[in-house]
Amino acid sequence: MHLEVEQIQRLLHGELDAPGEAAVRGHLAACADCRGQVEEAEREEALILGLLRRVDHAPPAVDAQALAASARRVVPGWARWAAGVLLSLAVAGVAYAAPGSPVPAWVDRVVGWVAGPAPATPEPQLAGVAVEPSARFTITFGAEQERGIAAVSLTDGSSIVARRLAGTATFTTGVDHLTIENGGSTADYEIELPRSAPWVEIRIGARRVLLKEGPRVITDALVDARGRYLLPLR
Amino acid sequence: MTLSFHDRFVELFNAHFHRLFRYLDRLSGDPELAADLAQEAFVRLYRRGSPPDSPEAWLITVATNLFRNDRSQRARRLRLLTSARGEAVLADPPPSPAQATEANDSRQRVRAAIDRMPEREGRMLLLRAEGYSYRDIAAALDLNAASVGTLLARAKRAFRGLYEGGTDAP
Repeated sequence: MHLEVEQIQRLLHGELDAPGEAAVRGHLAACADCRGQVEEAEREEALILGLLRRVDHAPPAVDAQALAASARRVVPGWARWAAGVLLSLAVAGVAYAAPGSPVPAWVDRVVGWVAGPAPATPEPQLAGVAVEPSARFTITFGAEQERGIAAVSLTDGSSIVARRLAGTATFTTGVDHLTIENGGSTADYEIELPRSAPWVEIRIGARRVLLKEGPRVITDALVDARGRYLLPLR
Repeated sequence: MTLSFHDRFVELFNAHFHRLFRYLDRLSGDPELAADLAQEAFVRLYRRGSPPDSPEAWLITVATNLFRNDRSQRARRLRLLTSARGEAVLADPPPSPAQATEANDSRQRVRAAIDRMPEREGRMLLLRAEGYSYRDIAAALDLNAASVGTLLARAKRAFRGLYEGGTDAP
């Protein structure tokens, strides 16, 4: 009578209770065939564990306290209300922009009637950069802002474009990065990412807020009616 | 002394986060996704407000379900607190070009073997490789705990067959 596969595996993994292990070891002391089976099972286990390690990646740097704090955050009522308003605006935007829609004419008529002739509005001051994306490209906002949004869109162009809309901020570029020094600023930004860029991340300080990996965009930002990801810079 | 739930959560996180990540990383082949899913499983554990009877099996089940949902829906994932991460295991010294080619080939074969394994056997093998107990594996995969060893032996044989280029998947 030889050991069963179940017993050999349990011995290997420390899953036998004390009497069971004593019985198995007693048998092994007297049975060369089963000793050979156990040795072969040990070799196979070591081989497989070694092979599996080859596809491992380093784990993320996350700590329990930060994760618990994140879990404690709940969506407040006003945020749900704001989301409803945004959804309504998006629907209205679609109605406004739909080809052949009468909504734009109605809006123009009502606005003209209420406000009279529109005053000339100054164009916002623009400043920005355009850079070619490398295989991995990082855009970093140096600091959180008291207010302000970065609207990120995907384009068919070949360059990463970042524009500052009014406010102050400076841009510094390198082969694989763009840094936006925005300390103390409340500016809004437009960022265009080429669809062809293989890997681009956007960070606010050390915090990643958007990742474009191939065709996939990963972020928790809201998307507006134009398909832009609205990243709050707070 | 009785631990508060928060302290118990921290204890569970420190004991299990990395191996849950590694399990998901090997299962998916996508470290970013694995990091998200592992974090989301722990967020759900925290929001539960009390530890389940078997936290290890609970975490595996939640994380595996999240993975399954992601695969079927391709849902965009919330990036929580992930910071910069190396692209590969950090411990090995830099290999020669020949070694690098061989290692890359081997890595691809391991990846292909995992992907081609029957779902249940693949998960069982990866969970055991992370040191999960037979009881946790049985609970997470809804198996008879008395036959986990036999099923594991079969899973290992299937993996070796696929890795070595055979068609040993049952």
